[in-house]
Amino acid sequence: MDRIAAFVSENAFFGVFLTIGFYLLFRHLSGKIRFPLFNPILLTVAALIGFLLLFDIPYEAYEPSGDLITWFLTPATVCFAVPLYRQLHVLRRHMKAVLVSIFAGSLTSVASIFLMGKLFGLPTHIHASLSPKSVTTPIATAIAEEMGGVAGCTVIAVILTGILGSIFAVSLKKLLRLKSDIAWGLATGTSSHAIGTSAVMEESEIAGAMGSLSIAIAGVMTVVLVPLLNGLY
Amino acid sequence: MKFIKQFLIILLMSVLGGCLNWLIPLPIPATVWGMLLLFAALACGLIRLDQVENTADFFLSIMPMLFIPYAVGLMDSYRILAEHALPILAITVLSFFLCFTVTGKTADYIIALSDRKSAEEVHHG
Repeated sequence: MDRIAAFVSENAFFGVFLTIGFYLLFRHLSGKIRFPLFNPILLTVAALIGFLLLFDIPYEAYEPSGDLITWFLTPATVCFAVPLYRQLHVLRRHMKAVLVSIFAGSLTSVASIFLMGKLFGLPTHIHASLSPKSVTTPIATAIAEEMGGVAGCTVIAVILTGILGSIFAVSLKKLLRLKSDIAWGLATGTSSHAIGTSAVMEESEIAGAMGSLSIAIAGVMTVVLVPLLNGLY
Repeated sequence: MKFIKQFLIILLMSVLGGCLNWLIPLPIPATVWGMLLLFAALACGLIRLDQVENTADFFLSIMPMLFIPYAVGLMDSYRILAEHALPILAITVLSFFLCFTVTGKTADYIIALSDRKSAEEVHHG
């Protein structure tokens, strides 16, 4: 490993500084340029990958910095309970809409991946890696491994899906003419788990709360749905 | 000290979530158990909202940033799917849009239906 890579690897604060710095910069800019693809997460990822490639730094050198940041994901995900509790009255009132729509969405996700997998003639292990991709990373990888998939492939699909959610959730709300923020949050959480949900949370607390709820419910429903459908693949 | 006390409660829920994940043989991760535990603790009054709220809102506000290193990791792991890259990409994108549309439209429809029903009840009552 050359000297720059060794420096980055030994000074994890540098990678953390760079990540937060790029993120705040692009957040500031995306506030001015309102365009879906001008997404702060997408741009920060692109800038960091560009930086690492430019200075010929392997990913392993950035990994200690990355681990410091992702370490906070577990306590942060637990915190989704707070908006959920604050919006409990909405949940009570719309229980049927919540359960039916999350079930319909999870089924659509698993079934559409099943049909397209057949159409493209994907091998079983790739299909098994993709089928749980709309749920949160730890549930998705657990299901994939249970079904004989490749966890690395699942992680890629899950993260891509989440980034799609954070890019398109706001425009899809207008495009589909969704009337309630409840429906918006349910759609975002069910289709693009915590990454999509954290993006709509900034716009609407109700949507954020419904998204949090969908992460848990869609996750559990998918645990049941994937083995049922994949038995037929 | 307020923030560190709140953080301790959130960490406790994460730890207990880890215990449940370890004890219960279902592919439900520690984070989801932890979230359900904190929700249950709030709902039955074991923990008051003001004992976790500030720190929780801080974490939620920085959450999008916390996923970035995973996505940077794609620069290394993309080789796994190189052979099937196009179908995987197509399936990922299409299934996302389908899932979003079906969930959103279903929820909107049921909510509109129940709103109309309750409006009629008010009207006839």
